Amino acid sequence: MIDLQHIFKWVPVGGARNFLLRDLSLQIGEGEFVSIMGPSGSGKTTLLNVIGMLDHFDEGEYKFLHEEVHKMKEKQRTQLYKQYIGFVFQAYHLIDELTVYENIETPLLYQDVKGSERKALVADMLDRFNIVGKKDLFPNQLSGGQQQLVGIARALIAKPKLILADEPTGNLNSKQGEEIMNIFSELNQQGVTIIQVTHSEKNAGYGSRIIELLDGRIVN
Amino acid sequence: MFRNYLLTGIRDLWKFRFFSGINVFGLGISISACLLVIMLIRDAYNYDRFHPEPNRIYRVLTYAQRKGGGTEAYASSPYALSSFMAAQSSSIKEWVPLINRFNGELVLGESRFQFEGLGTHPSFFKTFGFSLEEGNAGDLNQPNVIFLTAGLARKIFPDGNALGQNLVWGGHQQALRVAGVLKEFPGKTHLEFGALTSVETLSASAGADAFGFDKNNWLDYYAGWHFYRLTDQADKSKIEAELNEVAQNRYSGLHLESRDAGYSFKLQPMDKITPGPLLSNSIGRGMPSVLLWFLSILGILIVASAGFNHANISLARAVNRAREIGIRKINGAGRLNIFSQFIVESILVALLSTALGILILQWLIPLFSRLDFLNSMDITLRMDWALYGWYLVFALVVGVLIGVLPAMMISRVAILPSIQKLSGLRILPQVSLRKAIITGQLAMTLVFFFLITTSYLQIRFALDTNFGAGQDYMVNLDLQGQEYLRVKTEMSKLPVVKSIAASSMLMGTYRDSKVDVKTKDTADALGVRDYVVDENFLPAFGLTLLNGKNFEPDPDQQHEKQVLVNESFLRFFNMGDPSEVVGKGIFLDTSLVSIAGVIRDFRFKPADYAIEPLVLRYIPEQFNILHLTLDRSADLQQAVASIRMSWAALDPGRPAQWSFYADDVKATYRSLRDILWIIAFFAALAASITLMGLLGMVTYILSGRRKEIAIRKVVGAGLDKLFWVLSGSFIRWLVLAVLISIPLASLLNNLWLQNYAYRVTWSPLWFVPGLALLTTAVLLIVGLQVLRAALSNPVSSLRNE
Repeated sequence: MIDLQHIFKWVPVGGARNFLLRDLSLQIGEGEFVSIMGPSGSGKTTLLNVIGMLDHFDEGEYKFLHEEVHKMKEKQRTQLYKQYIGFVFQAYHLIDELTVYENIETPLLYQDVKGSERKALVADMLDRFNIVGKKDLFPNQLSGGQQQLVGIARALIAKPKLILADEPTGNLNSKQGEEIMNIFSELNQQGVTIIQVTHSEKNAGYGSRIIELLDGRIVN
Repeated sequence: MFRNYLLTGIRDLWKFRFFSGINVFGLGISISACLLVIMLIRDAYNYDRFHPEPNRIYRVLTYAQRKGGGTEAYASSPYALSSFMAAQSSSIKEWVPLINRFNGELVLGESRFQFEGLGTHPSFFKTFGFSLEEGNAGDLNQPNVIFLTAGLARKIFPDGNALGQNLVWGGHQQALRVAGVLKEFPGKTHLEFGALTSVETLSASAGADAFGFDKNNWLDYYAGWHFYRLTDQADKSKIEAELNEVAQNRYSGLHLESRDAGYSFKLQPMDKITPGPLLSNSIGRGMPSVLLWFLSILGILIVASAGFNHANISLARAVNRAREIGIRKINGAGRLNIFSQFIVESILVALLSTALGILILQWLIPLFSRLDFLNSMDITLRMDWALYGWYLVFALVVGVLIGVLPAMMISRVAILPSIQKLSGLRILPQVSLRKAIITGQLAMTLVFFFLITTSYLQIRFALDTNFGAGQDYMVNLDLQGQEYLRVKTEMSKLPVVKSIAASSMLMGTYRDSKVDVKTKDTADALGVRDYVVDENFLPAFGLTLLNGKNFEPDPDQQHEKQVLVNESFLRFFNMGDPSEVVGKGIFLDTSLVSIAGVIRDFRFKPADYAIEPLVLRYIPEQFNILHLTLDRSADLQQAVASIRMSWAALDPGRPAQWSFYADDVKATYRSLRDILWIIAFFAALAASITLMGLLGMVTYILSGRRKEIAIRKVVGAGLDKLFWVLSGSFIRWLVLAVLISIPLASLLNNLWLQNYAYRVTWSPLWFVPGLALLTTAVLLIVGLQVLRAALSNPVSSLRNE
């Protein structure tokens, strides 16, 4: 599904280059559950953003579902991740002005899904995560765990093939964190590819594969 | 999707109530001004839309070329020319003359009715969209007929039986038969009349009085307006060419009016009359397009200013919303989605503001309805459903316009920085742009303030120095055709009346007349202002006789014998020293009179006129006004009551028409006062919008500097130091605005004061009230906010970081 070949990413500092990713090659197949680990500043989030096409890289090749991402234009890339990728963040990143229901609905709006279909899809999602009763609440009326549930529901609503999660349990207590990780393994069993960035060995244990990063390189 | 945008928009507006409030309120009041202007424009475009083929109807305009250079455009044209042309050209389907020599008084038994009417042909009803309730349009061919409008018919014949009745018109020999009554007009029209008569009626009365009308006088381009209804194939420019060809042939052989060098003619489409260009001798009323443009520009300036506030505040707040935009983009929103979202929001703001504007308008309408110039132009300020439609369109346009810039910038925000809380997020355009806008707004407000100050001073100056100003104890009594001596004798019996003078026209107002003057029989005639006055006029108004004698009273004089002239007259005609001219003869029109005396120059016209040559004449039958000087110790109300009683004994049919001279002078400057009022209104708008924008900016900038303030306080900055550090930039903006506005205002002031021959002398003090007002307001707003920020507890600001 994902094929990274010799990826370099750097930021210029003075005249020199400060490498964030250095000659990084990586293949991830469909249905995998990958955890990216490493100390702060090792490039975990940068790698995730590159995979999620939110960030550019400076050198190398990236094929997503056999399509050459590095040759695409901005618009095509947007089209691609709109269709196949869902994002989950440590800070949840819900829209404060929208209710739970409306937050979950948002991606469908941008994919021009019809109203009746949207209703059904959102209702399914609310059901699945047991948050029907909270659908008219605003994010600041929810606990962190509940917010992250909404965040995941939103990431899943458009039926992505790939979930990218950046420390999804980082702001949660252990019980809430466990709940979220259980949902991820469940999703993975249903065939969704998951890549998560995490600090926690325990969370990494849920996955099928661990990628260890140090100074922008894969070390394992 | 739209719902999602709308919900986000509404919730966001509510969440940031303070900024939204500033935004909506500022836009609301500025929009109310625009709504008023839209109302005026729509009213102006409501004129003359009910005629059957308005785009085939044209009016003949006269362009009179003056000897001294320059051309004056008249709405009227010569009857003889229009008639000749109508007979000659096959492209002219109908010709409608409208002769303005039909007005005065209609008498039915004991009752008298003032009216304004027009003389015309039966073609009137074929060409225009007026129709008859009763009677036959063909009768407009007959002499001695009158057609009444529904309103006038109701007034004269309350019982409704107008048709066939006889009315007596002023001095006209034969009674006029009511041959028709018009239906209520189907819409607004610039044609203002209460009655119609046939051209035959008017030409029969020619010679009966001095204002008679002569069908064959090619030189009289004042007496009427002429309309052509052209055939469908007609070519307007061809007819214009023919018209000018005919004119060329005719006028080359004629002895033109003394000030004219020649004439040319143009056709003006009916739908371009109101709103249309300013023309001399216009019929009726209606808004000139210059005024519409002037008001529209003021309105646009004000809305633009409020729009800048909106853009400023939206951009400033966009930093807070960047995260939301990032999230939306990650969830699949494209730039266009974000752009439309922000446009929807600005339209929402515009709609809210327009709603507020409509509320404010309800309060403005009665305020503006009082303005004299609106009344004199027959403008109706009224809401209707179509107007709400226009307001909606306006709100949408404003919403898009004020939203485009912020929406464009915000939709460009990159995803990663916006969700990663990087502090260096750059959405805002250069801060210098926003500074420039606020400075510009402050400058505009100051310019308005300065303009108000000067207009106010100029009005005061003009009112103080005008002829007749300060004549609080002088009553002008209209003779209304009554015999001068009889009224004078009666009035002089009143103990409150100290002295009585008489004249033909009020000096110090815009009314005037001219007479052709020649110093020798062979010389060219030149037009000179003339007033008819009696022997008491000079003492009553304190005018100084330099040489010679005042008039000798001679109520029964057969011919005009003597005149008084002013110093300018002597200079104008190179007649030498005042002492040399007394007794010399000059020609007025064709009659020879002698100069009895020379008076010192004085201002006999409003302040916009320089002193011109003047002839004072003594012709008892042309006295129209008595000037009654009252006893200074008298009770004015009682005095007026006694004057009215005496008048009632003289003329029971008509109430006395009187006024204080000082009030007549004030009325002369009413349009100037109206303009002052309008500028003041827009100045108030500009000021409040500017100050609100400033408030928003100050609050926003200070909230961004909370950490800095806290650190400064922690390291020991005192309140006074902090105050100057924080308010320094705002004060710099104000100083810059002052530096821009003073020369700009001086320039604008010069432009309009140029119209006044006598103007208030320039003084730096002019700028003081405006400066004081704005500086106080700015210091108050900035000071309070700065103080609030400076007094905040530094610990709480730092802890939040």
